[in-house]
Amino acid sequence: MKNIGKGFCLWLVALILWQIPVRANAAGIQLSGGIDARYTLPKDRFNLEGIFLNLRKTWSDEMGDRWIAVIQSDFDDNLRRVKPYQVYLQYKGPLGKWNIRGGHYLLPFGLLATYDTERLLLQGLEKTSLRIRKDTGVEVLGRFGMWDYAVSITDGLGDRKFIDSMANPVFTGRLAYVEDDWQLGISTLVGRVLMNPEFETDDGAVRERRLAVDFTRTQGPLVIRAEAVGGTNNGHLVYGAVALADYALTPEVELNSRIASWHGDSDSQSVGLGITFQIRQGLYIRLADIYDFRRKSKNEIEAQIYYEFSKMF
Amino acid sequence: MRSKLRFIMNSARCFRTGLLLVITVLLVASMAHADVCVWRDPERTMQKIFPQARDYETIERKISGEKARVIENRLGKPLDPGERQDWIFYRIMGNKGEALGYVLTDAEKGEYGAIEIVMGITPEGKVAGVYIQRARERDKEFKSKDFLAQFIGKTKESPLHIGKDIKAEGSLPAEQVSFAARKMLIMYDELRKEK
Repeated sequence: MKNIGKGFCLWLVALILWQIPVRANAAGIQLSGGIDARYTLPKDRFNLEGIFLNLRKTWSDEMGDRWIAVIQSDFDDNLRRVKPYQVYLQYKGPLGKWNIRGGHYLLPFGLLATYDTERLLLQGLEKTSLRIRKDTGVEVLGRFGMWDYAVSITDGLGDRKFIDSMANPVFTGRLAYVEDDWQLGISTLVGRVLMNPEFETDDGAVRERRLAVDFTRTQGPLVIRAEAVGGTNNGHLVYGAVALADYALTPEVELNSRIASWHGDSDSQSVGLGITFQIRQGLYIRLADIYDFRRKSKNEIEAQIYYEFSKMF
Repeated sequence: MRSKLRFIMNSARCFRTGLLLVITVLLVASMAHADVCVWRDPERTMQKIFPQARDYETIERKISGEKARVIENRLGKPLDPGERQDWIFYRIMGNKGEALGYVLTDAEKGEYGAIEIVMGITPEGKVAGVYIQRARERDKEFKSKDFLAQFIGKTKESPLHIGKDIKAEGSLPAEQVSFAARKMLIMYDELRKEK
């Protein structure tokens, strides 16, 4: 109940902030959210993986949209964990050439910068390769010509907050060349990242250095995404790669695949195959089998029911 | 004693999960699913249609039940459930904040998923340009410059039918783009003065 109380507090603060009259020309509020329930074999476990609510609001001045606020909280793991997912305020410069974002946001690194797989069965590599997906800090992002850029400085605490740590600021940056059907990006991350408990070193943090190249290509019904990443953890070499391919058979059915490999503190190689059915607008059923060559129980089969909605107020 | 405690804790957890699921499902069920086609990456693409564009402003319009029926009558087809309540379009502004035109977006069903269409309209109600924002079709004609250029200058009076004023092979994606263009012109005409 304590967690649910925290969630309500977050939303109460959001609602109060929403009432502050910044400017008359404010657009409405977009509320979106979703439910993610999964059944996993051989664990024989049904889990309400998450319920999330996302609130987005834009304020304009006489020259156009200027301020964007996003608040999303997730109620995860059978509602046991309540956490802010992305909570930030963004100021948009003319033509989006530059934007300043402050708060808790997804790091601009590799595929994560453009493709969030949090609610998918076949996911990107960042949970293994970075062990941090979101962090709190300040980001400058924008575009010039066909190039997108983003630089970010964050506290390295990830989802852990307000604790005494030796984590130092984490610098993340990405530069990408973007065409209509493809994009190629190069990213870096340098800093001391506070690890999950099972990965913690003596001081609770790991000095990470990473360099990554990511590529996304849409070719008719096929979408290919790939990322190669390498670097060091406290001076020890780590490297890996992931490739994801999705192929639409019909508007309602899509085949999904993933191959990933990671060498470092914990090695892993896995192959995943999945299928997605869109039952109706916003309602999906996904099935996936992930074969991990290093895991004791090599096959893990997961079924997911996912519902998402969006509403303007 | 321990098993009893565990039973109570599990029951409480099940109750909590069930209660929140019921609340969430009721909340979700009370909302019509908004089938909103967002304008992806406007900063990068607005100058494709309006080369003088400097910025944009998001505009929302609520659609009353009566207005939805008027639009459907003009369109000759029912709107998708998420389109019956509100519509978003974007005012494109020049250096001095003057309105250069408007951008509208729409998603229609293709053979392999949604086809997302972005269209610019001048303040006089003429099509300034069209491009395909996202599509996973095998067919390529509907994305070609020649096909899309045919929409420029069209107005709400234009039939926008393949074989009449739009030349194409008549594939499903091409038909859906023509339909979307007609829908957006009608939406703009009906909703631009609404508050």
